[in-house]
Amino acid sequence: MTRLTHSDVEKLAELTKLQLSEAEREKISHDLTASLDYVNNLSDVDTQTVPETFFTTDAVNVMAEDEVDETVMLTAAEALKNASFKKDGYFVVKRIL
Amino acid sequence: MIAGSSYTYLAHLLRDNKLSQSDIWGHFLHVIQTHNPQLNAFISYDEELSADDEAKDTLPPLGVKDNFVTKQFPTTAASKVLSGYFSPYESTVTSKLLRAGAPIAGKTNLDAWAHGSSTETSDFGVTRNPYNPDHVPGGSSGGSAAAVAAGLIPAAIGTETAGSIRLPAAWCGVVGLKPTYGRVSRYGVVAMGSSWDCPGPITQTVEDAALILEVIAGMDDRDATTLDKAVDSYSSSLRSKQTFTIGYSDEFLTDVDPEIVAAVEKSRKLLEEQGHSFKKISMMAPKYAISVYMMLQRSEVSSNLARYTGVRYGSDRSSFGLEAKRRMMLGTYALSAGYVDQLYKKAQKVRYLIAQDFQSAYKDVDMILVPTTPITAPKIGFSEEFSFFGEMMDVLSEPAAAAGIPAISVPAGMHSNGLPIGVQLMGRHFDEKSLLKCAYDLEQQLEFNRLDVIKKYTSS
Repeated sequence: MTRLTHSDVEKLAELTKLQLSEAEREKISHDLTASLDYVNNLSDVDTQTVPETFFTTDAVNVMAEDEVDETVMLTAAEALKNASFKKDGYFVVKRIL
Repeated sequence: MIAGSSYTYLAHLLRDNKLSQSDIWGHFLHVIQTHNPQLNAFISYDEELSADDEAKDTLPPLGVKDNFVTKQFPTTAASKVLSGYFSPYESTVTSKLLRAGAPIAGKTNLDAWAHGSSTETSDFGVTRNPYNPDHVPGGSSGGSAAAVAAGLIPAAIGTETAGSIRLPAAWCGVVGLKPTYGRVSRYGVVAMGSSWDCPGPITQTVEDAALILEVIAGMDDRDATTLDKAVDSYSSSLRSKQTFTIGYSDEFLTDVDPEIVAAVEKSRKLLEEQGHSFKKISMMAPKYAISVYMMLQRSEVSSNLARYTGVRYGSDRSSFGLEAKRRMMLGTYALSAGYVDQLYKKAQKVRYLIAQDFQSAYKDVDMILVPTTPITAPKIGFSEEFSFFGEMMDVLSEPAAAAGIPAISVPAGMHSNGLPIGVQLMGRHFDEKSLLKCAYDLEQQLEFNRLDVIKKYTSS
């Protein structure tokens, strides 16, 4: 059985950019362990000859023409209207460099 | 005349000018205003209906799950992360409804991000089951199912990743259709499990589901996973004389409430009397679909919810609830180096085998009849006892979702506990036509009484 340690949960929180309370850390650690324990049943199923497929219908890749579709264009004002922080027609983000 | 009338019947009355849209909306607005405070089925609604002036026809209003982006209403996905968000564009499903003349009356409650099977994870509070308000309506499309069951709206749209249409439909005593993956566009649906998500109708009758599917189905350039398959005239073929070979499988009866098993048996007899024949088949145990779903859906969630950074819209990541955090973290784990082969890729391969399992069953039968859920709607709070409540409750709907095939849940009677029971038919890829036809036959014979509960919510 895979038991998630305190540091596993911390690492996952960091990767998902989530902050957890102490109670949440405990709860999530318990629940993720239970989930991983359950999915162990997949090892009952022999998949040695199964191809790596990622799709259920017989859809094939679709390419769009390289043309501007104005019906799906947003104006700068529309694109910015839900942003909390904006300046001079741009989104404001945290400095990364 | 309006209370308890099906969506289809109201559409006829509108077309024949026997009722106006304002007569219809006057009724439903009153019922919503009176009973929504208790049921909490709608997150938002307008007092005035807004219609598309260019629509040639007029259809009755609908409720739409609040994970479709709409220009008319805020879109919340029932999460505080999106509070105040107004989409600058319209989803394909709601565009099609508006163009067909069906006004959107409001947005219905759901589990936050559609993560759950009870609506208890909604940041806007739980929706109540109209049959017993101490019980959950199911989820994640619980607001849509409860609104239709209680007669707050004549029909609604939901979305399903694995059970989120069929389970609340079963628990609220209404019809829920999950179309084939790729039959209905996902454009403008708040993405959850992108290789699973399917919009579909939640309605009072099978005919209503057929009518609404005709409006919302079809290929969409804005969703590359939709397929160019003809959209049949589903509603006009319901009364045709056609019989099917239907499979039944003991694997789908394991750990199911005996009264629900009895409802499936009764449904089988009724369909046999209609001339349909039954054949026993052996299927892969549904418990493997739980694991497949849990790994793949969590992985897709961890990717889809990474976009909520608070930069372009919404608040920052501190507003996510426990369920979303749990899912993103498990998905991140399943995709991480060292585990991706053992968890994510393994689950993909088992998913392939589930799809193959259905393909081989459909060589012998046209569709499969099984229960929709293992139990009836539990009490509010029951889900807290589980580490993954939704997966356990959706065990019988996950196989069809994994295979991408269509399935429909139909109310099949009442349990002695006073709550409705649902049975489902699972069909072939893109064969919603046969599925709806057979579900219609079953519905006609079952004579489920949907009016009692509607009366409860229209009498005051």
